[in-house]
Amino acid sequence: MSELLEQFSAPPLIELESDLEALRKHAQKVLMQHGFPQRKTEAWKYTPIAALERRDWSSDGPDESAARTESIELPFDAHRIPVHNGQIDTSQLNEIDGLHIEPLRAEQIDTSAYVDHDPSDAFAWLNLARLEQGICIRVTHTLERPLALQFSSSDQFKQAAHPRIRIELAEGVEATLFEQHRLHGSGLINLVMDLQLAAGSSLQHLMQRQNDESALIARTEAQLEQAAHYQAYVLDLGGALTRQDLKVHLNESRARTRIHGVAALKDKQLVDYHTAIQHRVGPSHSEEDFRILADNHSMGVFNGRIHMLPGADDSHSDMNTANLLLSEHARINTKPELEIHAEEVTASHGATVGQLEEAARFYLRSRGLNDAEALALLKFGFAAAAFDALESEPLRQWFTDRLKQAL
Amino acid sequence: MLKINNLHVQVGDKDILKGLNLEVGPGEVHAIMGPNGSGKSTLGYSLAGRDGYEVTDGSVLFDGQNLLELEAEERAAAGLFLAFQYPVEIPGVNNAYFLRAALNAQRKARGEDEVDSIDFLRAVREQLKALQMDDSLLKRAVNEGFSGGEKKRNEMVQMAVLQPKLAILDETDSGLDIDALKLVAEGVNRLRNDERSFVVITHYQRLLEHLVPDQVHVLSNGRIVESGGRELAERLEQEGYGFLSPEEDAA
Amino acid sequence: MSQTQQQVEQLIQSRYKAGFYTDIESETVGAGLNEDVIAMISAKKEEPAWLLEWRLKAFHHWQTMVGPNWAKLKLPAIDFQKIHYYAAPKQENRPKSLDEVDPKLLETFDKLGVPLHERARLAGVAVDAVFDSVSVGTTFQKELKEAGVIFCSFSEAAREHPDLVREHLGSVVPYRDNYFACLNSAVFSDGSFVYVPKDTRCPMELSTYFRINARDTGQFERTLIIAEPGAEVSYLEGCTAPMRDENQLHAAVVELVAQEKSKIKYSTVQNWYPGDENGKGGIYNFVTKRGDCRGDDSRISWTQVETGSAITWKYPSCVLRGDRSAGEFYSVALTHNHQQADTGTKMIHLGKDTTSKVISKGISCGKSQNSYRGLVRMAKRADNARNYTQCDSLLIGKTCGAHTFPYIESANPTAKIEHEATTSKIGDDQLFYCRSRGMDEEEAVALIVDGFCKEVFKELPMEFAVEAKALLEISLEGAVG
Repeated sequence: MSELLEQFSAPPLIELESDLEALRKHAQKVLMQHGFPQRKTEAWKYTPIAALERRDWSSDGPDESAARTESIELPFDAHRIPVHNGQIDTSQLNEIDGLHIEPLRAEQIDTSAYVDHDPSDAFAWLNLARLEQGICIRVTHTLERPLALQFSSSDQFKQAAHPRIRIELAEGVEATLFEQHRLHGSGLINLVMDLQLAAGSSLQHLMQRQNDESALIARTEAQLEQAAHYQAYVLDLGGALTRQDLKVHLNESRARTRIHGVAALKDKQLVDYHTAIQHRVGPSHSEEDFRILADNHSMGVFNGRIHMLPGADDSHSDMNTANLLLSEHARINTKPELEIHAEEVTASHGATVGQLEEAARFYLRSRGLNDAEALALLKFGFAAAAFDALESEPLRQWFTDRLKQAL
Repeated sequence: MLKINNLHVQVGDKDILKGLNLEVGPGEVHAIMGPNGSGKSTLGYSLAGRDGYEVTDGSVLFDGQNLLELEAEERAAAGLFLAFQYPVEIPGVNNAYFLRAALNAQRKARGEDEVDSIDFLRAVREQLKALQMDDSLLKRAVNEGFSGGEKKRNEMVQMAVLQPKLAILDETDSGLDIDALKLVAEGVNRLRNDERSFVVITHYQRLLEHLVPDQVHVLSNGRIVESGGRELAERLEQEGYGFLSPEEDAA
Repeated sequence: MSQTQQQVEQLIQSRYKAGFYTDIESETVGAGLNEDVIAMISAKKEEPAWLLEWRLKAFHHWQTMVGPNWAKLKLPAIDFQKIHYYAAPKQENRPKSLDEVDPKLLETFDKLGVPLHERARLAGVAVDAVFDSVSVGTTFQKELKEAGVIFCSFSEAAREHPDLVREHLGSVVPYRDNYFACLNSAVFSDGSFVYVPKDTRCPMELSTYFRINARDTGQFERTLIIAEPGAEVSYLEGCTAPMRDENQLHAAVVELVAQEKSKIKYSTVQNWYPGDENGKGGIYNFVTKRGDCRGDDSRISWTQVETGSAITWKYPSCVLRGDRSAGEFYSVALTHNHQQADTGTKMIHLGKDTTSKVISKGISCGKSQNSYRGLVRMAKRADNARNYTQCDSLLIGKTCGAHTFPYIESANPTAKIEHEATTSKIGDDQLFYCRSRGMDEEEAVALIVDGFCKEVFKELPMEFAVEAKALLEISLEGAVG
């Protein structure tokens, strides 16, 4: 048994009601049986779990010393849900029309998609095994303001926390979800988010992260019913270790999704995106574009998987990943996968890895920009294209401003 | 304005320019003609300061200062503009943003204030109109998805907005139909004044019908081998570059 | 099911034309694998002692290995003790020339379209014919010898040119490389050996034809091609087997060594028995093919047309070690009925200014599964390396699968990688257009598929391009639906 596993072998401190307790025990059993991913575990070959092993996670549980709530700036008014050091605080959301917040119940946890014969989904099982606080947010009417999940951790944070959040959109409801991360300290946030989009609903999910040494392992799984629409825009501006699994299930016809992401990495930062879009029924539609800029000693990983099941006829999927290697010590590993089991479909993917064109740099300099400005502008142009499809002008502006600052 | 003396330029390990001399006074238009591979584009890139174009000998004075010790962007700020033969596509960066960034960078380098954005847009729109280009171009990425002709006209828009002291037009006429060619020539003519100079690099004399040069030079094998008035361009058109061959052999 | 589809399903009878069996007295080693069997194979081939040692080292290592567990392939457990590791037509003495070869064998190759005797042999193509575990004979040996080229069976090379074999064997694919390469290293039977000396352009195409005939045998051929500095050679292999209900194992290893400024072109038309329409029988084709562009400015080009085998698992690869070396991979893989193909390439860029190009065309019909799996790796010192990859999949039928798994790894900022992939079915508009011009549906499909594969076919030597096209048409029969 690895050291990491040993650290998580003790039972959690807080006891839950019996159904949840049974789930936790099952999860613990699966985890203990297969352990954490190894270097040979395909889905984790580029995520350095070893770095987590060197830390001490045995002092599980909330960190009382830093119970303050950090305020994270937001471009506009929102229904805020701070999650500080892994503790979900819903106190600011009382009696808002169309918004219901409840503790998570056992039947709302679906583990049928979790791999239980090898360590691929160890962190999802870990999340469940250590579950202490889970919430379900039901959105029954279109909200005027966006929801904002604001994850933060203090400089002293060195624990592992396993928040679990489920969001349900009722039929026809439209919502915007802001997910922000400002993780300090040297802990681990092992987050699981389940998104349920009922028929005709539409969720715009905006993620923006700027962490330091604390690690983030996030699994976001969206289930879409008929004609539901899920859009995710991700902007990662650093973090020692960010692992994002983003799984979108197009379960009924006319469901569609667009997931776009940008990571601008420097120092020894690492981002590992694992996306999976499953077309279960046709016609359904997906579009994906991830761009990574890796500077200094950073590493960017993208593994995108499009899976068309039998019956997904008349579906269409486009996937693109473009990557810039900006330093001789940086690394890019990318794998755009197609798995097609239906005939009447079209799917394509493209991937590029390279550096900025010398000709473009010279062109800009011949117009008066100095080399640093030219470089910044080209990097910006390369990355910002991922946000072109964002319909809301202020949101797009906010994203591109963040990006510009970072470059 | 521009004084080139005995310019030698190497690209890779190949000598391209081999002792080129050229003097362009304020307000003058000079045409440089010559066969393919004679070094015309190399001249443009060398003056604009592209990496990989190594000056091994000679000097270039621009407006009294040593051009060769300036970075590419410093040359631009000093008032030198190169209209590219193959304008570069820059995905994700829109034209308006690009042009304003360039203009402000140049102004900043000259110690001037940033341009007022309303004035700026007005000026750009005016130029677009004059070159018969659509406003929507401002929101499109620089040169991306442009036709060949659009790219060339876009270079003229940039030139008009940036108001250089010396503009080098590198085969701006190639790939243009006659109407577009006239538009480009008119664009240049509008900018002509007693101060501003032009070096027009071209393969054909048809642009020179609309853009009358003060002097025509023939570039061959890295040197100017013949200079004259407009009639030289016409002679070249009729006789081709064949009459240069004996000299080339001699060299 | 449409009417056309019904007609077509009727057509899905086995069209495998190479499915006959040659009744010839053969000498087979008892089933099972142990040191004695390996020693016996080595002795039969009169091998030098060091080679037996090498085989045994591989065998001992193989015993410590665990069989592969592939995500995308359904592979029943193989009982390695039930396989015969050596089978050869009985003969008194080793035939000294093709004239002494058993006429039954010559007849077999005649029937397969590879005549060996002098009056009918293919012009401009030297052929080495391998029947089960031994080489039957090699044509044009005299002509090649005059040019300084060595082209013979691997067994002959081990006897006649032991130094060359010893120097290069296992230098590209070490015996520890993978489970099946390791097994091959222990028990390999025959294969071809090619040596092209310095600054020599091989005067003709070289070709090996592999035939499995005996029942319950495995075929483990080993091929080694060495191109000295400035040498050039084009090599083609073809393969077939009788139709049988049992699966048979084929685990080959091919090693290519390309020295400075040399060129090796390696083409394969793989038509092992694919099994019947219910997925019964067929060859398990587990092959390790790798080329080492050892010298600067060397070039290795792989072209493959894969239509046979129940399961294909092969990734012809290039290690681009020399500066400015170039690797190419052109592939057409067609799967039908219950066939499974998992194929692709690895381009490992180690040297500066290295280039690689990958063109892969997958066609899936029936209930088959067809995967492209590839790796492009730019190592830290691969300055200005370039790769371009294009993977296209064509789906014919609702129950098949087409998958793409490209691994792209870059550790050098000046390296540039471009990868594109598409998956689609034959367009109704394309079909209609062809039919409105008078073609029936099958002709139209064949025409469209041929166009889809054009880029790969044009890489094949001419005589084989025609063969490959015909093979594809036969394999496609009954696939429309």
